[in-house]
Amino acid sequence: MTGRAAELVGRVLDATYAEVAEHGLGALTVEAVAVRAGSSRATVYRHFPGGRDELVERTIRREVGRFFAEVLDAAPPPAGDLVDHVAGLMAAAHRLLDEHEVLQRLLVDEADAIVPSLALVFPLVEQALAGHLRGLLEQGAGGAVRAGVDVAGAADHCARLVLSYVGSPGRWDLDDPAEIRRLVRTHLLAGVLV
Amino acid sequence: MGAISITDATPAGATGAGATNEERIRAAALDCIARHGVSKTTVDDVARQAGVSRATLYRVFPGGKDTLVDAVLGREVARFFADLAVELRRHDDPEALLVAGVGRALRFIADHEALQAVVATEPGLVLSLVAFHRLGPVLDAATAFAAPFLRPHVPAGDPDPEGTALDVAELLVRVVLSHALRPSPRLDPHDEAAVARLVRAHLLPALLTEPHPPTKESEVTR
Repeated sequence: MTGRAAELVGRVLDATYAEVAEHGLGALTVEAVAVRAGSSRATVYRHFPGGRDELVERTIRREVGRFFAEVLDAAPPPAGDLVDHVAGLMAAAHRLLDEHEVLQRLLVDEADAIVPSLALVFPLVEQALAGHLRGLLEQGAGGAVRAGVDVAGAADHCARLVLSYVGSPGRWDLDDPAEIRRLVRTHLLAGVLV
Repeated sequence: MGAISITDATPAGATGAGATNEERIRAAALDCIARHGVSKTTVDDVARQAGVSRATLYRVFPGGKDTLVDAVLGREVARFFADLAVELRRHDDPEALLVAGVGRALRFIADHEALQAVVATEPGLVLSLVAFHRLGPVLDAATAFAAPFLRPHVPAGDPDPEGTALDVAELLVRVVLSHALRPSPRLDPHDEAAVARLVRAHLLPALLTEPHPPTKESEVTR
């Protein structure tokens, strides 16, 4: 993609996000996105042949990538204590989800429209997170990892659970850092840590 | 049992002459969903498959498709828990209990043709039942079901054994749900050794780990 095309695609995705934020998902049209991006319908379709669905999907993918980067940034550095790091990831993800006004509004007002679109998000985040955790476990996390642990399996298991608890906290208070640490140590990494 | 196929798992006679219309319609709905998914299944399809008239179907399920889908879902969930309870009552050893319970739950889900069709072709629909705040009631019900089976295995000395049983039950429910929605190539539900590995590596330690001192007193440093 040329710089110009990439810039246009970025502008169209920004416009899609802004349209959804302002008017909701149900009201989204390619026309409105094109106008907002200062482009034309034909140009938008040239870059997004899938039209509206593709706009939504690629906007979600970009948001997820940004969200994940923000969560990693907000957590304590992975070089330190593994429980602290994973608990920090969960606390940050919980807080950022809570503060994500657009997502929260969509979950309330247009749950039936947005939740199915999020089906593509879970595997994306899960894979990214499992990859991240696997790297940490392979390095031994400062000697905290039990000998003989199947690192790939442990990373997959832990990533699934991080997503599960952050998505719906259940019996746990994810606003309480001490409680998250207990959850991570006794449930998510129970079989992994020395 | 364990392996659920829509035709042989319906109660005896559900599709035969002795079946009530309600049973016949429910079995037909599962059949249709297994073939076409939920959104493409119509009341006409189900009525034809069940060998009843549209009018009869609406008499039994007055709300039409929505009521029917809810009834089928409710019935299958009840069947799932009944099946699981039978398995869980058989085991006194905690490892055997977890291996059998997690394995049975995952196999029921993996072998349920209608559910698998929906997971494969309409993942958003499944997610809309169990994602974010929608998961709360599902989690509560499943956790309350599983906790009493775990309670006898909570290590002595745990300051809050009921709470620990509920916490671990919730963990198990989440593991099963996660693998039901996004199956992992490393966990074939029919491979008992693979299920046992997961249980021994990650789930049993959560149940049997010596209780840590209450968190709030010991860890709050800020």
